[in-house]
Amino acid sequence: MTTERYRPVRKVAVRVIDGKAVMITLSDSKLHRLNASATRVWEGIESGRAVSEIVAGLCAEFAVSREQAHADVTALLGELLARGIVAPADDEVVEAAGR
Amino acid sequence: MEDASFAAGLKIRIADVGVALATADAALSAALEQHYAGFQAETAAPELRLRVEPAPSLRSRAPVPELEGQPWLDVKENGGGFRIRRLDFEGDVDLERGTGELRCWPRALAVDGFLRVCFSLLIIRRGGLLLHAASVVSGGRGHAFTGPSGAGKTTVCRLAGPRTILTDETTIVRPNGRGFRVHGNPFPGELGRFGPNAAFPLASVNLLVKDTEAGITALPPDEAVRALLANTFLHARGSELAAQALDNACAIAGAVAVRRLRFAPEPSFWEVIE
Repeated sequence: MTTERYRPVRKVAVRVIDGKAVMITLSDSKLHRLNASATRVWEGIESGRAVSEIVAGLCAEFAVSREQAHADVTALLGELLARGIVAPADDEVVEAAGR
Repeated sequence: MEDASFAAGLKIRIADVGVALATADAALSAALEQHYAGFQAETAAPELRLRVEPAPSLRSRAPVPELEGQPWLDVKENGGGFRIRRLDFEGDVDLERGTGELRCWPRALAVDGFLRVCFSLLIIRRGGLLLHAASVVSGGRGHAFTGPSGAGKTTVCRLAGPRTILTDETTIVRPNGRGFRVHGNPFPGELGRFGPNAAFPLASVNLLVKDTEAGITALPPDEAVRALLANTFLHARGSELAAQALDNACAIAGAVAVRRLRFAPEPSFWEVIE
């Protein structure tokens, strides 16, 4: 999965406050709060980085092992996929991402 | 050109928003005058003109099966405005044009229910939030107390003593250039009592947690934003207004102390607030 890329598929509004993201999915006004490392993962997804690049960024910034960073990214992606917030970047575009 | 029915109708002012109500139903008109007695004010250019048409049949409308047992309120973006429906009313509001059409069971409570939703949308557009919160004035400054039903909002009001209760249920927060103000409004909860039609600087928003003794913990900014939004009447589902609500919550959290308040139901908890 390391070369895979994901992209936001629902309109979301995200504000990063003190390095942590608060997010609202506009279609249902549901709130999501991300911790600092999850916020970095989200920023990586938004900017179109591959999973491997996001993992490398986490290792450098948070001084965690590659295995740990990979597990964290996988867990967050699983949650975002389950909530329909992101999809694999090579899937058909469903809905344009918001700001 | 000013519509004669609005010129002759009821004019109210809530949180500095002028509203003109027009209805041909004399009994409903009298009920609305009484309901909004403390909030009547002449306003040259109301921001919302609401035409109300009585529809007695709406009271007995069958509930929507999938929502049986829940309070039914349906708000949907509809073109440039919103369609708002409840068992006892259905109406449309265009916030851009400042117009609304409402068909309702001819009671003040039905009009009030529609107006509450209109204000939850309007206030977001004006940089504020409509919080599910009680508000009490102490030393000339407003303190909001929020949390889900049962958290203690009504209890806080009952323990307010000589302090002014602005609302026990629905707190309107708006920016005023130097900060945020909390506004009295005619949207009460369990107490069923309106506060004064007045505004005060908002000093704090307190997330209520019942405990055996009182104490305050400041919330980190991201938690503060989440707490504000989690306790906002956010009817704007599927709308860009939700994004604006997030911006407004960030602004409020940046300007006002947002904290977790542990409190026991005794008047002494005011010592940690004041």
